[in-house]
Amino acid sequence: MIKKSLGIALFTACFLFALCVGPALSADSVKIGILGPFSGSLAFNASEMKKGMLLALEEVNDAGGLFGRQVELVYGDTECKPDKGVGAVKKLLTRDEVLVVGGGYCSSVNIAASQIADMEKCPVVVAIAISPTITNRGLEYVFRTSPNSPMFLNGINQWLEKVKQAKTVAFFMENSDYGRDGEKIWSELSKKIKAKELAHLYFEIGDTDFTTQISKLKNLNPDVTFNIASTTEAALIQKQAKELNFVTQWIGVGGQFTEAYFKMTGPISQYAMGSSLEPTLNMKSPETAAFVEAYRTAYPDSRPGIFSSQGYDNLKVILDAVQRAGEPTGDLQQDREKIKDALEKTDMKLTQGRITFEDDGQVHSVVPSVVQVQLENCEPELRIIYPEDRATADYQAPQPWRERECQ
Amino acid sequence: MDSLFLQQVVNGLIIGSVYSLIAIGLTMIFGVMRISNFAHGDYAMVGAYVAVFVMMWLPGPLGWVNALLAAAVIVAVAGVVSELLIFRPLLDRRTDIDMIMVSIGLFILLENLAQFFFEARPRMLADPFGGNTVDLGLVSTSQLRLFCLAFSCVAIAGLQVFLNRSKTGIAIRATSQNSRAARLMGIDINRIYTLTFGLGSAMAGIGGVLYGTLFAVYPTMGAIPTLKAFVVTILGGMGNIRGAIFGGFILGVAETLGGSYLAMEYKNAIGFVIIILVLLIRPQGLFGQREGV
Amino acid sequence: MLRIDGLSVFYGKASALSDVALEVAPGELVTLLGSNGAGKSTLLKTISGLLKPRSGTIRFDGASLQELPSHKIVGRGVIQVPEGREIFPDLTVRENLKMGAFTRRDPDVDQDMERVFNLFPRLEERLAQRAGTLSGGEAQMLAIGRGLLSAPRLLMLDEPSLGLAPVVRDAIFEVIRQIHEERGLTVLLVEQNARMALSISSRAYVLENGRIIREGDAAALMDDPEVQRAYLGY
Repeated sequence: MIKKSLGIALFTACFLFALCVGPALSADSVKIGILGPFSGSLAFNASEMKKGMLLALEEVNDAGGLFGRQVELVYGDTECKPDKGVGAVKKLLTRDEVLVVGGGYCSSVNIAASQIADMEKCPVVVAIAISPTITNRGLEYVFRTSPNSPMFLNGINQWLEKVKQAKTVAFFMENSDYGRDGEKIWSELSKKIKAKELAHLYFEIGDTDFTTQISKLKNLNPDVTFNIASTTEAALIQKQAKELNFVTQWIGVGGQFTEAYFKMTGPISQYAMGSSLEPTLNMKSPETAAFVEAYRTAYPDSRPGIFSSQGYDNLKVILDAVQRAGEPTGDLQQDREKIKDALEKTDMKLTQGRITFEDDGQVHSVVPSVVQVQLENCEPELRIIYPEDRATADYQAPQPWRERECQ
Repeated sequence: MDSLFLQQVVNGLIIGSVYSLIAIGLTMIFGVMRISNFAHGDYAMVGAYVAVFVMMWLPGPLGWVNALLAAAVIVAVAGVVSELLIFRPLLDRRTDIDMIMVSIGLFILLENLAQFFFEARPRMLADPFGGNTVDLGLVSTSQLRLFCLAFSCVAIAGLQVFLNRSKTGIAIRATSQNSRAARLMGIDINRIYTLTFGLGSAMAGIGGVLYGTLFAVYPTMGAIPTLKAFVVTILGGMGNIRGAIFGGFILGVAETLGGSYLAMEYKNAIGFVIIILVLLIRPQGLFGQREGV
Repeated sequence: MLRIDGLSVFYGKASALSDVALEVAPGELVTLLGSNGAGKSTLLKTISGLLKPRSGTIRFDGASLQELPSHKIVGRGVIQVPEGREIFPDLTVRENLKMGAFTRRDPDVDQDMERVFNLFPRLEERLAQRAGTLSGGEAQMLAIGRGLLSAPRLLMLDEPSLGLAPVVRDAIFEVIRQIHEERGLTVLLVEQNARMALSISSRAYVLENGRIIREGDAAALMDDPEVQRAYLGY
């Protein structure tokens, strides 16, 4: 009998303690929601974004946090599926009661998730997703810290027009909004520069065998092949192009140039082009150089890719806005409103360049460079070839496979 | 004949040979045990990871051949273990749906284990032939691709010799055609089950190494081979080994030619169109002689 | 040689055999008569280990069979040629015969193969043919030949004449008589064609609704009015 009542008493005590301590602990921290495809086929790219964010988080928490509180990231896994993304953002907004939502990778997910955050009047700052739709709907609480797809392609378009002057082009892209958006932009450009469009070929996300399409492309022999693909597919296409002895100037959006891509392709990605904000390329800027240095120290086994710097900048912008908005009062609505107002006044120099938002919540001041994969001791390296004022290397025209030294 | 057509046929034969190799195991297991194993492609995934680790120690052609052998052995053991622990206990009191659910469960389990142990990042197996290409005038391909085709053919032929010449091999075919009569011949069908699962998995393991070398190795890579193997198996007739061999090559060539001359967007749909046509016109499959026993 | 006592078999809750007792002595040819669904095939399947009895004993040469898996029963020389032949249609005739000899490691297999060809010359002509393409009579010859290659000590034949033309049926019975009389093989024959079966048997049992209702010398049963009415069509 005594044992039993002692048990009940202990249980009650624990329960009461948990009741008091639980909320107290989390009220103590400043909570920021982070969306991303942390599981599924894009998990390795999302983890790169997360690594960049953790650097920014460490910086602020090591310096004592914000307003004497630790900053806490609450992750919402979207699996790159819109329905999962909607569920994840709702949980962050209502259950976790985050002050602001950052991160965000897949366009289709973030179009939906940002709409929901906007309805809840919670500021959302998108890190990576590039569809123009995200910031062109006039949503007051939606921001984006990276360029959208037309901005990404702007530099390449200028290069094609002014430098390359391709006569024939072909399109080879994933059968999705990401692929078709890019196809539209480049198809317009092709008409403008009077290049003949030889073929529009598609593949499905997750495909592995591209020999059919590549054989067809080889038969048509275009000067330039636009290839809009994610990391894995883009790497497999490079590999199979080599096996089928196909040479073209590959041009991608740039998002494929990740650490995983270079590990998969090695030197066979030589000559491939895209747009990039790759931090190692922009080492001339002290902010970028410091980030690269910090990243290499924290993660000696991996290279700081574009997603890591986009993640880092994204969280830096958010932390800065939270800081300027002043100590959270506990009134969630009011705090979120203040953070939104602070975000609008953002002006920071970060790894991608200067970040300010225009009325649409979009960064317009970050301009990607045109990059090409070039080899250094047979190791692939991205180098800026355009615009000229930023270029670190000259353009190299693709050579036949048998004349390439490193394979 | 123009070079694109020839090139597409060669591409189709190469990928088709890998489809055949993986489908043979699936159709053998179905034939003998009536199990539709939706985890079959994940044995291929396990084989591909075996190759990743073997080739870390021993790169180049020698490492690759060793990887193929190691994958065959290790995946065969994995197949035998899963047969004994998961499928065998259910064999007597199952319905087909139970077995399908169990195999889907195994598929999810294997994928998640792979994600847990090997991370989600895709890995490329280094081309054991240094990426050397072969130009045959109208057709280009790589040494690796030709070797994949050759190795698939050798493995398929080896299995055929075993199944057609050895007493045990004939017993596997006999069990697949009529397991009760096989028992009356004194064949221990439990041993045949284990052996078939082991052999079928070994084929998938080899197929996985080839698939992983041609493409990439990642935890969810098994889904596509499973899908293709089912298309091939239905095309050739469930349980029909010859059907699986020809079915694999037919699917490979149909995909490349259809993708090239009809519509590239629908390259993957070609397999499903084939399935629907086969089920409508010839439900026993192209090579099936009769309805199920 | 074979001795069955008190054997009961159920399909789920339905009784298929109850309290069956049966004996086959070495060198005998015993016939088991019975109408469709009487339980004849059930009895053979139980002896072969394809079905497990609820109760009762099956002894062969004094050793119990009912605990053994079917492949071990075959190893003891208890061989069944099942109803409907159940040959392997996609194997060749030769491969089917090879499967008959599956458990054997002795060197006499080739010699036995020759003896099967002497009994059924047609099989030798069709060795490389797919068994599925054989006619009904040829398929039955193959099924019996396959059984003989299993080195039987007791050969159980389930409805060997079913669905065969009269000429072929007679030939099959002639072969059964030959292997029994000339080689002294012990046979347990299940047959619908009672007259022919009884004419070559020494003893017979009559099974009805899962029970043995008559047993005795073949000649005596031939004269039994009940048997005559039910099975001989008088």
